[in-house]
Amino acid sequence: MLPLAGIRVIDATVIFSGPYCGKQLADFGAEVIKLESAKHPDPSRGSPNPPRGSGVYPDGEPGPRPWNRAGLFNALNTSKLSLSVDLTTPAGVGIVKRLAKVSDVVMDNFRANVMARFGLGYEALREVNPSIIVISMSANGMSGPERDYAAFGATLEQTTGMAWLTGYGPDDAPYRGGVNYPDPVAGLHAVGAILAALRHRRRTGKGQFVDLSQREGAACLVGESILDYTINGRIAERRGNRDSSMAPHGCYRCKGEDSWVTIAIGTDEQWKSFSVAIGSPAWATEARFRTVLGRWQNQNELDKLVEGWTVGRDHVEIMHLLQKVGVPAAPVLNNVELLHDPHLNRRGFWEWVNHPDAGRHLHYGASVRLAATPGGIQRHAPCLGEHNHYVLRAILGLSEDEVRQLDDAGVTNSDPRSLQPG
Amino acid sequence: MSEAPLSGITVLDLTQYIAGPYCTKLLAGLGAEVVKIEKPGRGDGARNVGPFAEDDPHPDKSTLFLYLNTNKKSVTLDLKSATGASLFKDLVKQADLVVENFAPRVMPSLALDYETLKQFKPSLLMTSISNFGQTGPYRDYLLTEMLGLAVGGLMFITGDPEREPLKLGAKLAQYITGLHAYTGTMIAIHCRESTGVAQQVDVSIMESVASILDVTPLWASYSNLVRPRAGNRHTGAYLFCILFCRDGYTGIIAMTPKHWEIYCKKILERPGLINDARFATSHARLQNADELDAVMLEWTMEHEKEEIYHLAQSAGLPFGYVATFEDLVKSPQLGARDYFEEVDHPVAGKVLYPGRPFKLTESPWEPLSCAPLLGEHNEEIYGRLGLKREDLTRLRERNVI
Repeated sequence: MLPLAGIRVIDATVIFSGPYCGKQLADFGAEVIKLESAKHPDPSRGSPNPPRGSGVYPDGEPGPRPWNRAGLFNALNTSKLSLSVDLTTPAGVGIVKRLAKVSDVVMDNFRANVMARFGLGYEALREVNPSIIVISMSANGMSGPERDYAAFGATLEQTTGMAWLTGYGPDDAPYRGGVNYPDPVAGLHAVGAILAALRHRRRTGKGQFVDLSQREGAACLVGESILDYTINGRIAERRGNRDSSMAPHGCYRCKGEDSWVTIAIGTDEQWKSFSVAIGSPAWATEARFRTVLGRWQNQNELDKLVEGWTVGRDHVEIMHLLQKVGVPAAPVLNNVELLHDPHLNRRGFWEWVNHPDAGRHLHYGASVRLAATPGGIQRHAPCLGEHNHYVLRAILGLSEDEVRQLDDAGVTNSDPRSLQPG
Repeated sequence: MSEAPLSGITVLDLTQYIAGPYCTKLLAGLGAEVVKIEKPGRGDGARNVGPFAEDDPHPDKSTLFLYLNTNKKSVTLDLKSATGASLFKDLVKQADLVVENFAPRVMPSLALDYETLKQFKPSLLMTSISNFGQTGPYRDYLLTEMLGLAVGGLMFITGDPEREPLKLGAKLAQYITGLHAYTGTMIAIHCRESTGVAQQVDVSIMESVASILDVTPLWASYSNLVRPRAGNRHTGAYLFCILFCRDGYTGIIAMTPKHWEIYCKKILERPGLINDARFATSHARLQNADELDAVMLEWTMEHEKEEIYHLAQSAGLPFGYVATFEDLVKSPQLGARDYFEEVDHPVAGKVLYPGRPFKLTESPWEPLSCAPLLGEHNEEIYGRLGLKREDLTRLRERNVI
């Protein structure tokens, strides 16, 4: 049994934030119908004719239908169905409205005015389905002077103060994160918003519109720094890998190429255990390192000494050695190590997915475990337009003739290359 | 007036620090009654974490605690005492959900594991948040914020390729775990109400971080490639960088050839650069990045971050700017949408707090109310179990509450 079975979602979102929300819903059993078109596939499907070396494809090969082999799309759209329908045609908009009539949720992550421009804004959708729940995950929300400004995870990281805090030190530039993490932040907030609105509808029969500003949601994750400013007038600074009170607290080089371990020591007890575990070298018993304050004040030297010990050792072995005596240490895992990590594998975190165009590969599945209704990847990320027939015939009840007419008119075209010049 | 969407749901919140409290902050804001159960005398560990209001390390002045515990009630209870465990079970009988973030061995060692608690309330839900989850070989290992980013795969790809991996400044590993706990809990509530199934939700920091890496794991599973640190530039087809400007840092981004053209023409006012061989293609721009930085820097140093942001956005370019917390609080956009809300706290005073991650038009959030003092709601909550004031005095003398 799947916990969200019976919920139908029209997912008009693209790239990362909205698709991440749709993936959570779909992996737990909602019927999530991804809305795309041959003209405007989700950009995460990459270019129909990708330049050599661009994108992430199985074995580096884009293949004859690159849009069905793109790693970014295939990672973020598991368990969904795909309907390709051209929203710039009245027939296409008509199909979406008919689908909205028998759906529970419509979601988009465009700028504020885009859905309304297609004739698919909340007012129009409510006309066909008064109890529909519509969530708009725009960058800046549906109102305000910057309503129509565009943004991406990497720029939202900046406009929320998150980038300000990341960097090697106060005099070094602010740094971006390795992924556009404001996107999944918005996606997860949206999952909760949708389920809250569904609960309200169960109890009252009423649908509603949810206005999610990705910038506002991401700024919720630096609340304590905002309060430090509103209460103390202080603007927190970048401090690299250091901590406000723990020392040693850093990322240390290990044996092997680009291999690192993180160690964070907060108490005298942990320090003592650490000293013994590394063989009680003379420096580890020095008086200046005996107290929390002493270690913090002398952390420049301390870091060098700690790295002197880590540099010849394997980073996973260091974790086991130190964790066994209660010292917090963890290897900096790269993506290949992560895929082979024994803990994640024992927990079944990675799931095999068979994709008709991309082949059989491991993917990340459900990010939380529900003991009785575990969820997980239900099916491969859909090929573009893979479920046109199912949606048009089985859900909307169109005849074979009507389906063929739509296809002949190009409304449900599923081949981006057919639109390319030449 | 419509009720908040989670009204009628009672939550017993055993969590501390960030991940659990962020999860229950959202539940409380959406209308659930969240009763925070804190250790007598000490309370949530976050009460002892700075920065503090006026730098005064007082348990009701931690900005972290003040922010993460809005709309909650606080009772004190020593779960390790037999009396405390018994009172907790009485509370469970009246609750819908327990949220906890102890190490996985703790709740079973107190005989308060899910299977036991379910005997007192068959429809009980429980969300368990931990470092590595309730099972698996690393189950009992320790984590901190930085270690969570490291073992979850995000730290390796953050920072300069020539330097050590870098942690993020925001407490992302813990907050994103709180968010996963919140979505898992919302799914479990939905499932219970639509099918009657009650269950435990297992959330871990390692998996929460490893789940948000977009295409990164597929570099490995599709092509067995290590994804390197990208530094502060985009590795792909477009231009991205964070550059110094007159009053801080600006975020430059040009995703398409059209963007590059607009940037040269309308922002830099140097149309000659569009087809300059050094910068004309994304490949060339990456090859000559230092030279390009110098060209851009010459211009940015003459302009201010928000000026550049508005100028670029008006021209159709999705630029950002590196906001400080002062910039954020003064942002006209956030101001126009009433994002910040004033909250009055008896010890910390009346200040602005960041508001809600989304706006519900039909079933609004509860008004933001201040974090509770330690044990502030003992009388109210224990009163429901029939305990009188003199009973509470006795329990306090024995350090149970």
